[in-house]
Amino acid sequence: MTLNERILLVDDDDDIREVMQDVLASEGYRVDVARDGAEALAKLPGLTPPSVILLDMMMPNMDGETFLHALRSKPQMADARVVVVSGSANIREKATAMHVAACLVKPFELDELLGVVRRLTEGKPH
Amino acid sequence: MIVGVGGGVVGSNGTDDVLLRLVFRRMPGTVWAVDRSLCFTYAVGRLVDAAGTSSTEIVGKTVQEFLGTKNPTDPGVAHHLAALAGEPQSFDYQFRDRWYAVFIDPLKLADGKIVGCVGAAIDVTERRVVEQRLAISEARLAEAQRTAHIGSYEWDAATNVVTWTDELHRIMGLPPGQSVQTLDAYMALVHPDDVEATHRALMEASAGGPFEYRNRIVRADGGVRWIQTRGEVTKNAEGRVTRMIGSSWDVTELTEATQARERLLSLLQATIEATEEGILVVDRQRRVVLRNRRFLSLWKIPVHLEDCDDDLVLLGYVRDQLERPDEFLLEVERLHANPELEDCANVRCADGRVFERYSAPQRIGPNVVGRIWSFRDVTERERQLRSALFLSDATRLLTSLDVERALDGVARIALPFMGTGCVVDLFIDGGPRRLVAVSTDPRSPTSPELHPTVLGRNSIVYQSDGMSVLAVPLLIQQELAGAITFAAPLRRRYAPEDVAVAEELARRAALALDNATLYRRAKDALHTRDELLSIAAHEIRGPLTAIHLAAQTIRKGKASPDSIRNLLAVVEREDRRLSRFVEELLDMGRFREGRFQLKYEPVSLGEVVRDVAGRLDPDLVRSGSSLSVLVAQNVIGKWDRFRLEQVVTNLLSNAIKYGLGRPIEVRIRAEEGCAFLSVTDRGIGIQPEVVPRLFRPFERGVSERHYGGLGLGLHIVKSIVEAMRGSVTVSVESSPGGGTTFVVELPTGENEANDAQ
Repeated sequence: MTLNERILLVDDDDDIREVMQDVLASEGYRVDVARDGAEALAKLPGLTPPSVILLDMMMPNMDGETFLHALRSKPQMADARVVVVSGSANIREKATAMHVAACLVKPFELDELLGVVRRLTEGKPH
Repeated sequence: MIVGVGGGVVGSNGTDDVLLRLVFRRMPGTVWAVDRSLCFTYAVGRLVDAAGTSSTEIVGKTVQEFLGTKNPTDPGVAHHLAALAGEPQSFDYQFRDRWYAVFIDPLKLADGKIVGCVGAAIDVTERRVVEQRLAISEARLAEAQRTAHIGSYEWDAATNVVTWTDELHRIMGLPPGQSVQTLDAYMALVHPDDVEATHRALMEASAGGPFEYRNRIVRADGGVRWIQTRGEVTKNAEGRVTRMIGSSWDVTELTEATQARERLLSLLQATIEATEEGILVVDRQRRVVLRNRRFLSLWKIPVHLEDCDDDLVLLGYVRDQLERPDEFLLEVERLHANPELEDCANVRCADGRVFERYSAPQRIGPNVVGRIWSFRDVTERERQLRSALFLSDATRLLTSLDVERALDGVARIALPFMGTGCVVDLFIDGGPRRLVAVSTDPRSPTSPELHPTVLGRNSIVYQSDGMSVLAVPLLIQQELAGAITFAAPLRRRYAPEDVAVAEELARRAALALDNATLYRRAKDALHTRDELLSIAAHEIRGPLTAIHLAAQTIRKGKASPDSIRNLLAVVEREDRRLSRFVEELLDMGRFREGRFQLKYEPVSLGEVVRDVAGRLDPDLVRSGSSLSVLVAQNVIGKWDRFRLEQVVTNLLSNAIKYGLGRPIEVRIRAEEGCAFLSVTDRGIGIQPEVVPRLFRPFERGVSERHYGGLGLGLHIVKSIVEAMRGSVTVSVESSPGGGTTFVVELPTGENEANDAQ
């Protein structure tokens, strides 16, 4: 079940964040949002650890890559599966190098987003 | 002198006869008488003595017996016989090694009957010898005259007759014997150009004593000959000219040869003096046989040595002027030791001059008699050659796009040609800095101060710290981009030619720098274009993703009515965002090409700010920033409303985007025909080093692409404000994160209505 699965959505684009939050919420996920890496790091300790983190790469203050490094240094967050989201053409190679669970290249289809999130949450042990 | 006497007549008186005999004995003659049978009837005189007989013994002997001949054709016999025939005889006769002039007359009686003859002989042996000698000598003279082409003449004043020898006829081109009879006839032969001079010479000769002159005569066949004449004038006791005697000879060949030689010498002299080369000719004994003025001036030979014929003295003087005297002396000795050698080399003087030295043997026939040295000043040619080589090498180096390394190389190859030190300063790409400083002379200052004249973009030659200094500016499109400075010991004085080379080098270096800059800019532009494309893709992908997701969510029918409203608002917003983005790109092109129209109309700045703030309210709310607008007075100016809204929108959007949710403040005021709009945020601020390029297209105050947007906002602001004759400045708080204030200053433009661009 996905009902209690928590997802952290980090993106500086207000509209994308809003739409994705809406979409994921209507699919039954609990979605927390942050507008950049710094805000996400600040919020994390107060959150139930998310199963999936949807992470935009290009953000002010702290970009996705920096956030990822910070995240990996936290043992309690080791289980979090990260999906990088980016408009860059070369994000797939970068994603492989960063050892993330998946990547979404903007603009992506709704089914793509949901498929990735579902796959990552279903295989996760509780 | 001799009187022949008949035998019967003479001797009738014994005393008379003795007396007569005595007289004849004293005289150098002999007299005799013979009868018709040629028997001596009487004889007295030296001839008789010479015969070794006496007068008495001879009487009764025949002539044949006396002469010792039986030959009737013997002249001594024949002439007697002829005289007996009635014809008086006169002849020379040789008898016993002596010559006699003999006269024989018939001895006639009163009735005309010839009874014998009387003879007389005079010893003419001495006279004959003299006559013979004279004849030989005359013949020899004639022969000598013929051989030497010398002719003699004689003029007798009394008769006005001129007598010429045969050779003189030949010389004058006249047949022998056809003598020029008078002085006038002689003058008629003289070449018209020489008549006057000949007259003058003869007039002077008439003063007496020896004279000599040379003139030309024209021969009958038209040939012109040069004649040398000398002679002597004789005067009588009254001082009147009686005779002129002398000789003339043909000197045509000699004169022509002399003239040809003079012409040749003059030509040779003129040629030697006219040449650019300094020439010195030295014989095998090292004596100077020739030098021209140019040689003396090239080597600065002092006046007292101008005529010096000692090669070693001159060599000593030359040697002191050379850069490498020993080398030169060795060469000189080598060439003198090898007379056949021909050789060419350059000689460098300590004063910087360069001579081309050529040396070759002087020959007479196959024999080497001396050596010719010639020196040509090739300083200018050498300098030009070296300049050209240097500039060509430098240019080759400067074709590298790594100009700074190239300039380092150029500075190194410039030495020692341009001096003993070289420094290159650059003022572009990060301010004044010393790019190169090289020196081959420890005294060369490697850090000369840049001369104010160079900073004023002009070349200069000056002295500093005991060095000659040449400095030229590096100008890129008339802007000072740097300087090249050369230094050399004082004895090298930089000449205008050096300045020209340095300026040419600076010109090429500047061109290379300019090219490198253009290349870098082109590369940067390509990079920027790639960046732009990447950013543009990102900018389009964001809205597209939002629109995609919203549309697909709505289509799935799972969304609640509230959610649908929300999603549609997102679609609308993103649609606007894309439109704005496209508009910015188009504006960008318009600004770049200078084609965008401004519609001036009275506009209230406060109203524009309020309208824009209203439109951006959703963004403000989302960002968490508050906005306060402080309007000191109602500011109205003639502006383009739409463009002014764009300016305010971009500035406010920036403040919202980078404001970190902190308060934003907008102030409006007017002052002396100018409106001031300031937008202040307390956000992330801008690094000071970024400020200069803040208004360039695709630039952002943040280094990475962390923020959305094309980076065109501020560029558009600046373009619009400047089109409306205003200005935009930015002030940044010193502490990072201290926020930013943009101030736009716009003339209210009462006088500039409808001044559209």
